[in-house]
Amino acid sequence: MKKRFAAPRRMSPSAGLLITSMADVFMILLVFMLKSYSTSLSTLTASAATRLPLAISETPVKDAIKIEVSRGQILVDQKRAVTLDGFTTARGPGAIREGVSRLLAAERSRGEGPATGSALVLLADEKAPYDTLAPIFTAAAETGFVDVQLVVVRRE
Amino acid sequence: MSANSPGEGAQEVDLNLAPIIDCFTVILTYLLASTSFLSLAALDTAVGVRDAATAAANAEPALEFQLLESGALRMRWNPSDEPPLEWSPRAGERMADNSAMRAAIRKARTRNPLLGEAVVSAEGRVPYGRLIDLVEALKPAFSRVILAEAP
Repeated sequence: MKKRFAAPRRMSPSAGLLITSMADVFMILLVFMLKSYSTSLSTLTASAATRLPLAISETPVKDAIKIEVSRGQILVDQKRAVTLDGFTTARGPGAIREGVSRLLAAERSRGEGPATGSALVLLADEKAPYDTLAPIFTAAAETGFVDVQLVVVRRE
Repeated sequence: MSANSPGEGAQEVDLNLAPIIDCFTVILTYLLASTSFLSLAALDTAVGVRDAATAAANAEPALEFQLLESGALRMRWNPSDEPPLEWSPRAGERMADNSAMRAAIRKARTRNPLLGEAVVSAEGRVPYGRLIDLVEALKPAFSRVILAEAP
């Protein structure tokens, strides 16, 4: 018996993309992103080279002047205080203290925003030696920033 | 004229979704690029300029912890003439899990129930990761953790 097959239907070359479902997906992604964006402190991001240490803490990070210590530099609110070579400088801890102190004092003299408080946020690489960090603590204390928040990646 | 048929002046409105999708794509890309997916938290500490004279004048006793480059942890009372305690955590052990340290803190608290401050310092080459490990272990036991220069 001869079997008859129906010829496959050809897709119309003008078949349209389903924009409505795509808009739905985008809308869901957008809501998710906006929610996670609003719950995190958007300005607080360490540079890619900085590897923050892990710790268990539920304390949220406050908005304050940010000091970042990476292998190559120390930044105070995105301004370079000291250039480092592998977390150290040939000019010694005095140069770190002086550089950080100068920028913190400049922030303090501006007298607006977080600079009016006593809080600092420290984002330091987990390998940064205490020799590099101690002068930062001293500079912070000297300029009146006595509450230091050590930023960590939350350990689950 | 039938009730279902549109009036003569009626126009069929069709929402143009393509530009909306374009806007969404731009916003989404911006958010993806600027959002950090790491969950950040903070450990609250205090800093203070400390020297021998200030320490001697400080009437309130505090426990001092010092991280040594050898990997050991030293603990002593300030002010006190007692010899410091020193112990080394096992390789890979977190300070918070160190039973010797927990026992020492418990003993210190029995001796002085009002003890609220821990002063933390480290030798020069001790990495920040170890300092964080110690601060994390001390936070639940003390109301205030002070970061100090190495004595």
